[in-house]
Amino acid sequence: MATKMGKKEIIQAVVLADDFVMNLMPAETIFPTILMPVINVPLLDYLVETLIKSRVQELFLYCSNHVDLIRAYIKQKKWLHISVSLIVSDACTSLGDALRDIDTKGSIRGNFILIRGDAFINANLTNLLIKHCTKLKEDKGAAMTMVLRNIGSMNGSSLRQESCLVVSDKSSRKILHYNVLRKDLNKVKLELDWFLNHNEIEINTCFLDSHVYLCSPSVLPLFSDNFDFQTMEDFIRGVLMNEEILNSRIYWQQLDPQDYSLPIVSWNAYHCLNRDILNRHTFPLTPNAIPFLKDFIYMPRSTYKHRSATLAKGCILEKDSILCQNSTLENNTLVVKTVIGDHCLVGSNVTIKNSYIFSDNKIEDNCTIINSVIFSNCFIKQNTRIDGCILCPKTIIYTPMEYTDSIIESKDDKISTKTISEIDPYNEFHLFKDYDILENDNNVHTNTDTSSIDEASECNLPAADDISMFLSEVIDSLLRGFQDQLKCENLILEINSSRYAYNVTMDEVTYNVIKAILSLPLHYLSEEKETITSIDYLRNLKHVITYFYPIILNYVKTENAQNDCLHAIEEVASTTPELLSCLQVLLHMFYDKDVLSEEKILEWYKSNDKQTDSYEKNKVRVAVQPFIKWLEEAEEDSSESEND
Amino acid sequence: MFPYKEFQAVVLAAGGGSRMTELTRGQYKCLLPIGNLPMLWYPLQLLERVGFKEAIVIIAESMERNVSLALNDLNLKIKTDIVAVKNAEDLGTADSIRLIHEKIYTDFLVISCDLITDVDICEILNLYRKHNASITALMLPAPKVPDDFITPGPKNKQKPETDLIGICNETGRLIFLASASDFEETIEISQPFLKKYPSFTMHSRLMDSHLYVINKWVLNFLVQNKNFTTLKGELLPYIVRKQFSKPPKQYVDDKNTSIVQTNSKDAIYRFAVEKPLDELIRKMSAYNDHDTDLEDTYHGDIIRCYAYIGDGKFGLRANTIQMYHLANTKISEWWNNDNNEQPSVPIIAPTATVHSTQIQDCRVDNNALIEEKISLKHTHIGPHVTVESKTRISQSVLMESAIIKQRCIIQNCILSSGCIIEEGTELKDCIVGYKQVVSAGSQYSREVLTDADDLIVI
Repeated sequence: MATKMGKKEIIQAVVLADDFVMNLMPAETIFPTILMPVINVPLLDYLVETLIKSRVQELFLYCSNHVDLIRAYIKQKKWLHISVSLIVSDACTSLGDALRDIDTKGSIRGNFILIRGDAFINANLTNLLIKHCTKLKEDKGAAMTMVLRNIGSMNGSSLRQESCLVVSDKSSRKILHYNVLRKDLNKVKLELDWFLNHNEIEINTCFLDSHVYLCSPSVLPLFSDNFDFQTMEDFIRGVLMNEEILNSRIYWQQLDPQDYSLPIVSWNAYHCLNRDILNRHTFPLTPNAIPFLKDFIYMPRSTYKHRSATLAKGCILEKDSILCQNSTLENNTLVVKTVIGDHCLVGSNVTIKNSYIFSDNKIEDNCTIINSVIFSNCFIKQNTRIDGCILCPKTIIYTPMEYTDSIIESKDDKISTKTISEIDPYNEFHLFKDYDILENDNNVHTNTDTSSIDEASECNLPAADDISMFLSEVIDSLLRGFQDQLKCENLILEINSSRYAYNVTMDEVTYNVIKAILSLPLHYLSEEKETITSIDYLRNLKHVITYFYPIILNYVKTENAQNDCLHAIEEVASTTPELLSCLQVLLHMFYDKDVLSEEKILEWYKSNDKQTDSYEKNKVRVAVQPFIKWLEEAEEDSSESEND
Repeated sequence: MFPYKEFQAVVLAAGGGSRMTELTRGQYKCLLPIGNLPMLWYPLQLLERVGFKEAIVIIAESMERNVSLALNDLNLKIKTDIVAVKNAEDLGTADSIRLIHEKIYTDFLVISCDLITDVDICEILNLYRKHNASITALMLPAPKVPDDFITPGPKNKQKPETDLIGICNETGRLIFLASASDFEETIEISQPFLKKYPSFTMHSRLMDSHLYVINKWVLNFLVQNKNFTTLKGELLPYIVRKQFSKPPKQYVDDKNTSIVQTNSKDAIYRFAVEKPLDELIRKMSAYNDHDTDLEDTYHGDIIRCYAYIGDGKFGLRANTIQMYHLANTKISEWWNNDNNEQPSVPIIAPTATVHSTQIQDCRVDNNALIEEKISLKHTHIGPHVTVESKTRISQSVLMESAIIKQRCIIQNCILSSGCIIEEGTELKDCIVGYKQVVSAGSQYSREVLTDADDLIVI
């Protein structure tokens, strides 16, 4: 097969009119994806424009649904620089079927450009194909090159659902792994062998599949040989898994940063694409730059009005909006981030935000339309309120009321509404929301995300882990000791051996042992299945402390240990309200039993004094105040008596 | 007060060479000769070249005398402050640094004595300065061992360790560091990680060269946290991982809190504190290290690790027999090629006595005696070595005071200090241990000749 791209050789492109998925419900039932209007012009026009600019001479348009619509549209268009041939098949239900069918027809002769029906791209496809051919010279098994667009970090982008994980060899850009990131999985598994067998592995999550594929002739037979390849994802996965057997490899190319591409894979993406066109990111596929979108008047803040459109007095086109041929807005109507197709009549005092109004619609006075899509030939009676709805073609709303989150259709003069959340229980169907609101949502998400990173990294931490293990071990030992009335010396031995096992320093031992003893009544009571009150807690605590007195004495000997002991008490008290209420009893008990010295308690209390900003610690301080007062008075008394 | 210095240098030379015990029994690792110069010379020379005036050299207590003698002989301009530590065998690299922390008062550079490289350290320091990093590490391409290269000693199936090093494509930050042996079949990476770094490269053929530039606060943190024993294995991965944590909202710096509380989750942020001016500069500057999202510069991270990849430079760590021998084989090629203005390793010392005429690509050190009718090829001959006549030696290393008697054939061997090879011995791909005597007429191939090896009766 000739791989050299001579000047005379004809460049072929295959466009699949359908994408065989139902992401844009209910648009698929109305027209094929390729005829989806984007700023009032079918997607196909943009695609053909790009193909002509890239000097592609032959276009095969494969259609399976709505064939008549496509046939009629092409007849009407009559493109000059490109020959468009239709391949029609009714039985086809997937991308795999379509490519197998094309293979049997045998009209594709060399390397070709495969474009899925929902693709929108402005790059020079021939240049991309030439790069693929050079790759093919190096590697005879290069079956396909994917065209990926770098859209940067997915953080805060409305395209987050579409992000995919691409693992590839850095030098050759050979894809090793490709899949769409699933939101529900917190972790992604990567094979160790990839890293060991390649010097440098690139891992990307910033890419968006443009739905444009540069294919070698071997792609079609591959589909024919493998009947289980239904979707492009199947094909990629299958080829990557059986790389050796099939002797085929998939590569990727990055779209130049100035080029643009975005497949309409969801309403969200559709929304994004329209906004980008109005903001002229997609140049030259923008109003006034292409023949089928001309005679627009460009107004500030990305708003456009066709020459033949009429704006009445007091109308405001706020931003990112376009008003197409022969449409009329009447008095005091507000339009924000909205595309209004041709021959629409919008009454006065209407508010339209973040919506798509296709052609030939009539909206009467005082309506409010937010976050909605209104297909062509609809009629909306005055005072209707529509939020988050999709109106099928020829829907007529006579009864003014409020509609939310539904697909509205009129059959035999009756209106049937289906709630979107019912049709789509898995919430895969996302109608766009206002971008700004979405951004706020994302911020919330990222915050929780980072905290989860923290936790994830913390559990790898040897130090913290060991100490918490040590603490739980100590609690276990003590609880068992208390229940079975074991000797304290044996328990000390047990604690010391856990101490060596977890490599815990002495001060931490003291700290944790005290913590364990203080929380013991809670564990004990919860095991006895009693409801825990402060009185129960105190009673048990007294038992526990009397019982474990030798252990406490063993660990709290030095002044430093006393500090640690006090910190442990503070820590537990600030988290358990039961202890807080009897804190002064506890301190008194420790003071009486000579575990804690008067000076140390006072010192601790004063050091605590400074942190008035911390509420938790404040609580502790307040709780012990009477005891401290008593202590200070006692001190004064004793010093006075000494003076006497 | 100390005079102002931007960086201090610390050379870690206390290691016992646990991965090359055949050679380090009876000899000190940091003084093993490479191209007739002790290993320690190379890192010191590297530091001297970029203008370091002083370096702290950490050694084991037992080697103190030998090291200072050896350093005196080397005539380096750099002033060395030799610090001997006790029980060096039990100490990790982080432990050694912790022991001498009082001597370090600013950001510092840590280099291992077994690093042989010609990377320009300035570049690494610049990378460190540019981002005010926490740690900047030097990553070198793992040395390629030629196919025909045979390591002396028995065949060793041990595979070299593979480090997995993840570097962000956009910012150059070091974001992932682990050893491949830590994983079984798969590596799990969390989604938030992928989100934060939408495009990064995982290197598996790079080697962590154990040259780090470390911020002073990391040292303070290390001093407080006694759990870390090694830099490469524990501290660095920990700091790299910590880049993802966020500092606590408000940290009350309370000097009275006892040590126990520093174990809490955010303890590292007691040390990693951005100076108010730095923060202000970062916020006011138009500079951003990445442009694919709208986050702050460095994502607002205070802890930042970077890796400098020394592409196209040679470099290896002579910490195994294979690497040690490779270093000796390649050193003339590497060191003399582009460093003409630098002090090159002398080829034949003036005090050596050489009678033979058949010498090819050899280095002969002071007071060595080479008699007549000897063929020497690609061999390093240490000081006070005696080679008697009618002997052939190729691709070998002869350390100090080795004695080779007549009619020996020695090929691709490492002969340790003070060993004696008796007459007519044939050695191929062998290692001869410290002060070993190889009896006359014996023939060995691919063996280690030391005391420990009872099978060989000497």
